[in-house]
Amino acid sequence: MARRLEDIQRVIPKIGLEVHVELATRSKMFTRVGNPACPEFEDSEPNTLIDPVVLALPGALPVPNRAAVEMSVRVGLALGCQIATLTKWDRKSYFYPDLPKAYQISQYDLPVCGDGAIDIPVHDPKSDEVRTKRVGIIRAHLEEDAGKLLHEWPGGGRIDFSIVDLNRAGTPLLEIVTAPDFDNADDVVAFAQALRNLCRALGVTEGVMQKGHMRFEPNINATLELPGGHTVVTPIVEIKNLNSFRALRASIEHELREQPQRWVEDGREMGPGAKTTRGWDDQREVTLLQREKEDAHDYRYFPDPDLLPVEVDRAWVESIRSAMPELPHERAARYRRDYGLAWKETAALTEEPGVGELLDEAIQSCIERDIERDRGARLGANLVLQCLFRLANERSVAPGAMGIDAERLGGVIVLRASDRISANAAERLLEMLIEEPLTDPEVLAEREGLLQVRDDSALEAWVEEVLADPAMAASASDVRNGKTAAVGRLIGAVMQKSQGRADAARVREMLLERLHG
Amino acid sequence: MLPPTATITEIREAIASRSVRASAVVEGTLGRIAEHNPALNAVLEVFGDEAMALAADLDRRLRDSSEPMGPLAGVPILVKDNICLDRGKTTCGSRMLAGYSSPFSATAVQRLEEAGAIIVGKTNMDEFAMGSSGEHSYFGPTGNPYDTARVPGGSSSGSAAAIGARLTPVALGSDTGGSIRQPASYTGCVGLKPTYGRVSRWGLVAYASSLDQIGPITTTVSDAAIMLDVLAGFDPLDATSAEMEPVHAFVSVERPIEGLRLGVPREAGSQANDESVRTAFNRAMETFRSLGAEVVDFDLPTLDAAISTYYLVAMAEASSNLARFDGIRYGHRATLKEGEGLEALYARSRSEGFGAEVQRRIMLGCYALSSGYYDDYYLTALKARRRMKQDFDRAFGAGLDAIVMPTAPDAAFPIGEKSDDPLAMYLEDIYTVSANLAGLPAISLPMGTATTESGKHLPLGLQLIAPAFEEVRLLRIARMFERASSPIPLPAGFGL
Amino acid sequence: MAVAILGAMGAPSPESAGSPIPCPLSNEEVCKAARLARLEPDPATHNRIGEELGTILGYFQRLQAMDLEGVEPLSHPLDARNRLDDDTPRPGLSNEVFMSLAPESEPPFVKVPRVLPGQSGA
Repeated sequence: MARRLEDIQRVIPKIGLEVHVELATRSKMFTRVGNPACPEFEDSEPNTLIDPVVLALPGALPVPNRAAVEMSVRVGLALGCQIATLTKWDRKSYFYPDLPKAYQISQYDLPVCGDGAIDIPVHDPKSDEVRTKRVGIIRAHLEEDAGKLLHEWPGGGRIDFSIVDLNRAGTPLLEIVTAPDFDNADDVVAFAQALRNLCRALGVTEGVMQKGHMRFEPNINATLELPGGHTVVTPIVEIKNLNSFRALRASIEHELREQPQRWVEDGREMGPGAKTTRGWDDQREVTLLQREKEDAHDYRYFPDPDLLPVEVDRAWVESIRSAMPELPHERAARYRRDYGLAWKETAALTEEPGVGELLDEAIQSCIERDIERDRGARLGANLVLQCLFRLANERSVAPGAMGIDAERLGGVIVLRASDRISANAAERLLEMLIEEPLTDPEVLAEREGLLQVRDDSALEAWVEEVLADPAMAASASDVRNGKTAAVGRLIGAVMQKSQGRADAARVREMLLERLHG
Repeated sequence: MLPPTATITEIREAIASRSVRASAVVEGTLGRIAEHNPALNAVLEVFGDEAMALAADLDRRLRDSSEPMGPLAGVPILVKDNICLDRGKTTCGSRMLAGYSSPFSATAVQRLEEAGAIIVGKTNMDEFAMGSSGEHSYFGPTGNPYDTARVPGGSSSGSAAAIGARLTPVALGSDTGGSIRQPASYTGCVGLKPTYGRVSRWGLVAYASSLDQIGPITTTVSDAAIMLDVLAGFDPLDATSAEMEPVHAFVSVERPIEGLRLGVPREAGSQANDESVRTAFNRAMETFRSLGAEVVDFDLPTLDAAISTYYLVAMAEASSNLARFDGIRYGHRATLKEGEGLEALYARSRSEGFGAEVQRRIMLGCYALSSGYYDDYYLTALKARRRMKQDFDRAFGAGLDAIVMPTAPDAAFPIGEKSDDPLAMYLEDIYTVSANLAGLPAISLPMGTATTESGKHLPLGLQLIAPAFEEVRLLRIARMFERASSPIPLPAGFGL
Repeated sequence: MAVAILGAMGAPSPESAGSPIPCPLSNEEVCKAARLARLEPDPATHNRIGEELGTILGYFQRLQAMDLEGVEPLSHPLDARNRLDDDTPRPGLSNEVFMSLAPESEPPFVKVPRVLPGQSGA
């Protein structure tokens, strides 16, 4: 029977995702030389993060990094995984110039994290509704990264050979494998972003996509519904090494468009040996078939005889669990539920590690000073979103690392919540606190004259001055004649005289009293 | 002046009492190497000037201060060339590493140096420790001091031949399936393979990681005990090194063995094809009985499977351990022809760099691990290995204090006799490999000699195997045997 | 009371009895093993290698005769766990040392023949 595109009545995608996360331990996975995925070492010159183990010199032996195991358990717990009681190391053999031992130490049949699931929020921008997507996790195992094989000189010089940089060789890598639970690119990207936030909140990676801290490999195929209730399943395509959310989305969408077309052309269906590997061309936005060696899949896994198994007992797991922060997607849900914040706001507040903690602590300090929780939360969220993020951006530092502690942020919120400073003054006060982080916000506000003036006699004097000003006469008479809106200009003039300190609401009251009264 | 047969203990005492200078000892050793190595090809590299400088420095310190000396102060030592030293070459007897200089020293070497030993040179060996004859070196075969037309055994061929000829009192070897014990047996030396994990493997070029262990080849059991005391200890650089209390073997070996139970595997008899081995072994059992030990036989059914199990495990691990020699970062790189690429670089460099036996084992190891064969070969071997360990556990659990077997089924054979028959060569290891598979400490010491048609003496080795980490008991039994038996003749022609 | 005398007891063992059944590896199998090992034996020797390897593997086949039902594989003799190190960086080797070891280099890199971009080992 001829295969025709128009016969395909429905395409039901099935997508699973593999994510490689470079763990930001200080030293490498199996030796104690610096790890380039840790900010401390990220700018090292090529081939300087090396030692006998990294170079696989004769006689060198691996010793695993405890911190990498603990980070993996942290991620596993966050993903709802079973943490293996006993986990071990296996060698995966293949020759390549970026793989010094010609085997990668990985985990084959006893990964540190097994079977789990996580509920992630997916936001629909059209309806602004948030739904929950459950993603099954098959496993997460720990391994070492390879080095880099380069085909041009750094900076772009042409060479007619290839060169090897082994700085990255041996960086700890956590490979997370999801169940094929996705049926669209949006959900995959939502999961990937949630996972990035989660890993950053857990402190296991900086999560800088451009630096390759996270790499994605989606596995994609689809069931094609044909007339007469027939279906065919297309072969699985694995897209290698994607390091941006944009590429992740675009490559999946591209594959889902291509696979029905490809089936029409070659008639290939899912089956043993039918899986192919494709790369992503970022410029042309297409996937390209990767050439494979005939022995590419004979990895000859076997237990690494240089390493002993790792027993992760319950006490160890619990001590790791007890030190875990609230997860970003859970915090975001709480903000939406408890404070009525919008998706966009909660997303922003929980993306950067440390921000949510800062805000929560600041809100708590407001509650202790008798500010109503919701009001404190609302004002605090606004202050962080509108002011702290801008200031952090201007200074190119993380919002959590501005030097403003929760106690002082709380102090600013309290001043604002009790109307002792204006919205503008609150922002100015926050900015000043960055320069003088140890000063009490109230003392600083007083010193800088930011406290609102609510003393009626002082306000009356400014009001009289303004009303006596001939330039204001027209506005004053407008108000007298019932055009209440004209009062704005008069308030503005009073505010100017008070250098912004006058309580605008009270000034309005006084002006209207005088002109109508 | 000390005789060339002086032991570590004797050298140490002579230097400590200032009756002999370290410089004189080292000079004597260097002289013996220069004179006798050409006949043996046991030593690949000599650190003459450096060793003399170290000795002179030690003499100065002995003269000027009363600071305590290390347990090996002034003792000249040779090191097998698969143990990394941060100077000279570390060749593993291979063309692959003929020009390779290690930027670091093995932990074992560092411990020796801290104890005051003076490293005088590196010894020849079967390439990457793969061989039981010393014939598989890129740098040519080593001769047996008792008959230079015969093999000294392997793979620690140079170390054993050098100690057999008393070029130095001690050398380091490595033992993966008998590579210390079998050559010690062939050359009339004492060879100790410690419990797996007892001595750090950091800096030992891996052949089969779950089997490899560094150990000494000496002329007496007491010297082996001194060496173990220095070498043993936990090393954070080796994740398979054992966290154990320090060993004090030297002070514990001179104790009678009355009442100890020694077991002889029933299955061992059929493996010894040499009549002189049986005779010497049975005489040795009489010696043990005369010392008050009980000699009993017991079942070690897995002995029959030992060779297959051992070679499958060793080859599988070796195929992976030797994959790093790819011609890219160090070692031999082939010259490519125009248009050839990476794959040619790998295959050519490795084919040129490795000898036939190494290539054979790598291919077999790849085969045993490859998809479709893994279960039948590698996995089956791991199961047989468990069985073997259970056999030993049962024997020791039933009250045996040690197991006794010959070290090798025969005496040293003529160079070339088995080089065309790899399987025949593998069968040489029948008695030694099980201790590696089970990770147990084992020692070989002289138990007599065979006599060749031309009237030459060929040493025969007695092997003892003890439970894990029971080296002190092992050495004590060996020492009592050594004391009760008459010494074998020294080799002729080496000025002894 | 048993008296241990070597050679006086024990039936001939299966390993030492008889010669192994020769079952040479085919040239294809030799090529496969050589390919996995990244070796290129001279094609003229393939037959001989196939015989040698076949003889040795034939001998190993004897393990199949053991009753290993339900036996847990043992990959390592040391019965210890959790040999983990603290995450404290230490100095490594300099680039100069690496370059001095490398057969061909273009400092600070080692050189390899041109590899097509996009190809991957894994």
